[in-house]
Amino acid sequence: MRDRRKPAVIKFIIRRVLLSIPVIFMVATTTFFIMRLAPGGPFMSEKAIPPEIMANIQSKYGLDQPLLVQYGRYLRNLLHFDLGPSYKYPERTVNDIIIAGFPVSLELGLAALLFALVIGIPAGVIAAVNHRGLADHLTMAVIFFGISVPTFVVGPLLIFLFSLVLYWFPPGLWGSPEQLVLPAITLGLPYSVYVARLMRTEMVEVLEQDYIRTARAEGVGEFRILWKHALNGSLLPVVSFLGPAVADLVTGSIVVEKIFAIPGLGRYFVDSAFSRDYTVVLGTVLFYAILLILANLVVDVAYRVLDPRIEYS
Amino acid sequence: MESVNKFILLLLAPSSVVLAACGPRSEYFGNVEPPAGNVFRFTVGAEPEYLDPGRSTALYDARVSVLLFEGLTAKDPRTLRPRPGVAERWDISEDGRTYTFHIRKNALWSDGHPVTAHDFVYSWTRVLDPKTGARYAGYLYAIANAEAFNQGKLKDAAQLGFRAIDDSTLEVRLNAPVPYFLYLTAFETYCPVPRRVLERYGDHWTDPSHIVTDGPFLLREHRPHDRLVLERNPSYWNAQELRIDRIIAYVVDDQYTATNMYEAGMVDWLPYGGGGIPPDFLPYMRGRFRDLKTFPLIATIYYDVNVARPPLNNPVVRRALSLAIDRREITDGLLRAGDLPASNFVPVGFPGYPAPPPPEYDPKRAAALLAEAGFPNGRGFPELEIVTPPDRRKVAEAMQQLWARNLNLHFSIHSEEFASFLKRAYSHDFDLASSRWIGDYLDPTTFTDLLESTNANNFSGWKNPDYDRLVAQARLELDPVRRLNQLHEAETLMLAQAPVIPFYTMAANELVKPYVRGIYPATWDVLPLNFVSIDHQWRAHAGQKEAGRD
Amino acid sequence: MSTIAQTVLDTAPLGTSPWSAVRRRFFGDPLMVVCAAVVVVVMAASLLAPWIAPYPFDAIDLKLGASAPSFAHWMGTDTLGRDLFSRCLYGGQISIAVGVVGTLVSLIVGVLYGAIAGYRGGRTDELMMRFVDLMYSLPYLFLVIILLVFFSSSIVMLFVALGLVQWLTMARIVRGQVLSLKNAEFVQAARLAGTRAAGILFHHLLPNMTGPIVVYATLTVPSVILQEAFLSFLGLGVQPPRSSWGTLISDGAGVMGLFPWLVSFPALILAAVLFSLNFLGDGLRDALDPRTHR
Repeated sequence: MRDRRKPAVIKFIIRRVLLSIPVIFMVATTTFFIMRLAPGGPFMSEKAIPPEIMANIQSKYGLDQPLLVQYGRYLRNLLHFDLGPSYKYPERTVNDIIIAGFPVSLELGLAALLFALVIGIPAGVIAAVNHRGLADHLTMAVIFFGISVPTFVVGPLLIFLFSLVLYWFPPGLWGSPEQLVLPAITLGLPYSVYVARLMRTEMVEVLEQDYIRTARAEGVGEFRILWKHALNGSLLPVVSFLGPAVADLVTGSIVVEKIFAIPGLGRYFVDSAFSRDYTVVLGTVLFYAILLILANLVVDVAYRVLDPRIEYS
Repeated sequence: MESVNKFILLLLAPSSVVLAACGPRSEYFGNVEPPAGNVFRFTVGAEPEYLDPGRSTALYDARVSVLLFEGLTAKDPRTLRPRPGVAERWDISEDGRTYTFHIRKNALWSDGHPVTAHDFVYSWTRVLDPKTGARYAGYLYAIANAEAFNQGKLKDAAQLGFRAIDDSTLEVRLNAPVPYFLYLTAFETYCPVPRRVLERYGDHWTDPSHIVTDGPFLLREHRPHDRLVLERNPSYWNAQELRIDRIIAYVVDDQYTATNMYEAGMVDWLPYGGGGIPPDFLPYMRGRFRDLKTFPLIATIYYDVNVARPPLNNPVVRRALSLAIDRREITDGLLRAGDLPASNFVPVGFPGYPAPPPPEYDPKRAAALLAEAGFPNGRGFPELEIVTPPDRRKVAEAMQQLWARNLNLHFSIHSEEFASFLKRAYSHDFDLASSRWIGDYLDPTTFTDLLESTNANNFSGWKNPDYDRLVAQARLELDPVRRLNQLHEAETLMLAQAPVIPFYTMAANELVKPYVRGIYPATWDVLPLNFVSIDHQWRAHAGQKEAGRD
Repeated sequence: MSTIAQTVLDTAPLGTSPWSAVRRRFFGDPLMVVCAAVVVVVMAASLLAPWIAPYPFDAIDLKLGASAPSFAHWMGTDTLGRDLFSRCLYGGQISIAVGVVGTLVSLIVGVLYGAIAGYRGGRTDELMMRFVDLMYSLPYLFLVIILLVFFSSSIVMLFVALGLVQWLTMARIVRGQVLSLKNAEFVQAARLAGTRAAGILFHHLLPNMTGPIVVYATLTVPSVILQEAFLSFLGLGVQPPRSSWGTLISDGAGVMGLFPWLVSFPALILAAVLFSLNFLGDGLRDALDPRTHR
């Protein structure tokens, strides 16, 4: 059995990687042409630049060549993982920008996830244990409230309370542990809600399983039942939720990065879109596309390894 | 009303806590605890595009460049007028066209090399070299042959109007007597850059590990989109003038975040353009907090009228539109940010330039003019479009209302994100465009040049030979009084034709913590921070006369 | 939101008459009735805005400026002196329209796509679903932002962009349903009777999967409304002077300390509607889920 599975997994991975090449190509192409068709350019400024100087700048970046030539050159550079210089910040390359911004987004995403688990799992357990009781209804009400209030209300509210009134946490920027707290809570809140929901649903079911009843009948303590038996049984769906959640969190941090002025990749992306910094827009989109593809691949492989019933297609 | 208010506070329980905690009457906005240590923290605004002074263009670039680099002249940290910088003195020829700068012996680069006249020859040639693609190369066009060289018509750099007579003497020849040339030499584009470092590291020479500078502060750390950390430069020739050891410039482009950081006590100064104060806050803050400083900038907010499109091609219509605006209602009713209503294009504040008359407002005459132009009570007038960037949308909405009320004219508003707005403005694709002009130096030509037929920023498309002639005459005029009169005559002529409809002179609103000393109103350029200091015992000194502005 | 959709997938109803369970569940839970009432009232009020709004949504009163709730303006006014209650009503039109149209786009595209893939099966199915997998791995939010930034955001653009993000999950759900139903006896019978594929899809298959489709659609509406609000926060939603709940909230969030009513009222309305729709969708799913009424 094992012997046949291993090559299958590898074949599956190779297939998926090959399949994702056209996707990346598609993303690169669409993004490239969307941007070039749009009005405005990266060197627009409020104070007019003499046409001769503009021409010099354009030729410096090869923007004076036909679109198809630019496209071809772009693809060629892409093969060498060279995303080019930023037009807006020419003292840095797109690679520099991604290397600086992504770890920040990742750290924020992981902190948010940690918060989601720390809050979500106990909340789900409490609700399940009290199934249809007061605590359950209360938890569920909070959960629904959590889904219904957007991050851009939660974020400013937290800043207001904890930065401007209590002076506990800085209202923005990045670098110290205190600066991580408010953004991680803001970003993690909706996810803690998902976790709690998943946890509650599974736990309710697990608690009605025969082996739990048996344990109860044998006089095992309630806490021990929860901790030793039930929790293990209900954590699986939460674990499988983590894969897509990480990708979601990392891309979903755009708004939180904006609220707290965090120098993450999401904010670079939005800024560069507004300032027509073509190379940075293209670079970040491609980077995220690859990231998402990888995340999906890892999740799918994990499912297949964990659950032998799924066939490889 | 009172009880409804309470109800809302209950709904937003956290904010009610806040309002109670802040107390209704605090003299200052937020936390007033000085920073530990001799450090000064401010917000620089958006991430600087270039630290390289020769290529920098934006306000936030300049905020950092002014700390790192110094030109032949330097901006006075109190008045912004030119004072000796790297050059300790200069001679000006009788015809006002040749400047000879004498560079001081103790001007050093941060790597220990002396700053020489050759550094300037190299740096200015680089800015003008078409291959550099410096966007503000135009600032050097005052120099003989600079324009031709920059545009590739002249290949020989030796013919440029500047040369190093020896290591410490630089001679500059100008095309015309430029009375504000010493302002220009203090400008970033004219600052020297270290040739050896540029040649070694290329575009990455401004990385903190490579950069070599000649200004009052050194770049220690640069975290993009987060902060720049600077330290006092001990080898700066005027180092004994500096009072602060360390500067942290935070990169924040969001107004709310910047203001929150100030309120929370993370920064000591929220300069104009450094993220900025949200306009909604200003009416509430003005007159309430002593740390809010308001002063007029040399900057005008106005509408460009597309003179090619009927019925706007008729000057009578344009005059009617201008006369029908109650500018005071916009500045004092809507914005309440300290802006000065003005129907003149050249703002107040230019020494020797005639002060503008009070803003015009005459709805009756406006209606009469409109009728004269063939649109009695707005009948038959097409619906025109105002194009505006998002941050000036509010003004456009007020304008819409005023023109509907006073002339029965109906305008639609199209708010375009800034890059698209500029694209439309440059291609004259608008009826009315909401524009802004911030002067570059303390001379009215920074405004009057704008409406010359050939100026690329003349979005209205207005061309007038008489105006062009007057401005050209003034350019060659050596007598300062006659020169300013010619410029004023040109402006008067232009306003009668109304290709632009000025609204107000823009005010800057800044926040400065009460413990900060040495911050002064900077009305057209960025402020050097040489005089800045932190008074840790400010509460004890509070009784004494407060230093700084007001 | 996608996680909720995912659970819908897992809990496909098999019963033939699920609606009686829905009715039982609905009237058995007073909160469900309240939620339904909230949705109906807010929708009706927004649709009737031209008649019930006390002021036009763009009537500026500069002298008044931002004023706290009063009898004349019972939700207060914004910094331009515009009546917040009226703006919430008109804003609701946009938010609801975006939610409904976005959902409809996803419904039409997703149902057709999923049904065709499931019904044809084999190679076609494999190819079509592989494409869905690929689309899932696109950084959608980013592409939507690029589209909206570079081709200034119009309402139509919003509809399209948001609808196109949502159809994938719908396609997956429908495909799964079709796969499980297409070998059922009544479908076999219809096929033997010579009914054409389209006929089978529309007359036999689709009516039997309204349950999960309705559930997912109910959950898509709040998700689209929320996404519009996100885009508004980034400055990419509907353009002024029009407003949606999202733009009202994002305008109000910054001045929370000064004018708390500007964020609290629209945020409360948005939260109430999202809460109700989520709760209703969730209740529907529970009612339709065979596991919960064993």
